[in-house]
Amino acid sequence: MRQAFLAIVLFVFLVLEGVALELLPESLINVSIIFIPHWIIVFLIVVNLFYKEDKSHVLIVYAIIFGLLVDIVYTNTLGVYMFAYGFAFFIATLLKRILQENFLMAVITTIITILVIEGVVGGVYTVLGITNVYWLDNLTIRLIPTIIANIFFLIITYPFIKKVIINLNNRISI
Amino acid sequence: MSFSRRKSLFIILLGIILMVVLIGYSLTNKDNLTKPEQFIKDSVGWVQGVIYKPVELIVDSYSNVKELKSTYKENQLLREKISEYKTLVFDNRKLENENKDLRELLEINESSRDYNPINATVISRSPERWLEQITIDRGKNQGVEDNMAVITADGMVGKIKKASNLTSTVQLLTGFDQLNRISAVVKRDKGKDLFGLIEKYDSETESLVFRIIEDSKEEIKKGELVVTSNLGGSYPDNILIGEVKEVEPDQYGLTKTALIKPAANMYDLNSVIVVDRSLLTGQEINADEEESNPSEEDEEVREPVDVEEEEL
Repeated sequence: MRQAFLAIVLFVFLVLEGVALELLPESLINVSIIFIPHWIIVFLIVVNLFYKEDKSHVLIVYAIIFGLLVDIVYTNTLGVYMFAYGFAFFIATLLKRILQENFLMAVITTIITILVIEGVVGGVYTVLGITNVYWLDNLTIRLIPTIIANIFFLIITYPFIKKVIINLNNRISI
Repeated sequence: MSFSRRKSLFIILLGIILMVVLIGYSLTNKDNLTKPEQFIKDSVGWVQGVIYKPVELIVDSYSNVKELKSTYKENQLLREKISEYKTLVFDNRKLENENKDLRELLEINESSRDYNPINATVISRSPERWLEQITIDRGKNQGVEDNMAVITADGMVGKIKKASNLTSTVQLLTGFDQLNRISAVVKRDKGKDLFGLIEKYDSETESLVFRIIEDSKEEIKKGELVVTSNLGGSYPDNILIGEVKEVEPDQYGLTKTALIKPAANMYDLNSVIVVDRSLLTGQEINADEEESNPSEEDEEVREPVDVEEEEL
């Protein structure tokens, strides 16, 4: 039940990532800065924070599967997002052991995770010749806007996800 | 502790190997999408269509209300224009008939300009913005195939990268690289058209790089129109790409390079048209030649081609 719920929510995020960009007003897209939604991974980070038992090994499988789905649906180059999401989420689980469960912690984890994802994706795409953006330009054009946009997403969804997951936890204990 | 660290290191290494294998697989297997890929793309595309359409309706009705204010002025302007167009329509019809008669005289049935339009709606844009891809809600079942041109009313926006059964991925012009060249011509009222290749999109100047192959004494002026050429083998003639923004000599001084501003807006796409060229494309001709056995009768080989042309 819980697993199905998680999978459905993740699938909805996967679908919305593409639709949202198309529905945003043109003035937001047609600018020199670009931001990439990593909603799947942000959602998984918050879920991992509040899950009662340590289910990080299950969640990491979700990160890998949905990374592969992002590859299939949106990029046509398989494996890049799969590895990036899996690896980034692995680091997020390591961070959970060190830090505590609060909002600031979620923000820090999100920033580090997105740095890892963008690093892996940018590195692999540069090697493959899909992009050739200089690292310094990349920082201002893509990396910082992406982090800000995803933290914005985190701020909006954090209370909802927290509520739902705590609800789920209680239901299990009964 | 050391055991678990070694284990996780091992798993990460395995992940890297798997990634490299998958990347290699997806880079070499360029012809067709595999069945599971198609299934996932189609089902995600279907859900996106379900979500996108009602939301777009709301967004559109909002912008419609905003546009109501300026409607009166626009209406008057358009009426003036329509009266101008009436004479144009008449001329056009006359010329069209004349053209048709002349073609019949010469026994040319097919023009490289003809195409079969497939209307499609944009349902999503790839969140990976480096790739500049969109997804449309028409696929192989509706006759869309790889490498077809995609246009809007304003001009060309891109080409079909991968067609799945119910959806297809479109590579926008803004993401074109060295592997997706378009053969194009500078259209001139008088004198010869200038042939060249559009090599890539330059994101710094926000324009397409157009290398002019033909040598010409005449200068290329700012504002001249660039359209697709039939000679490339995959697009029909005369689809507007954009207008010349700047001309500069090549780094070796042998050829000229023009920067072209795309005519269509790549960021405000709702409905697009997939261009199904009536003439056989270069690839199809090659495929037919490969299929046909030179020793076999030519008649049998030619027949399916004819049927295909009639259908189109």
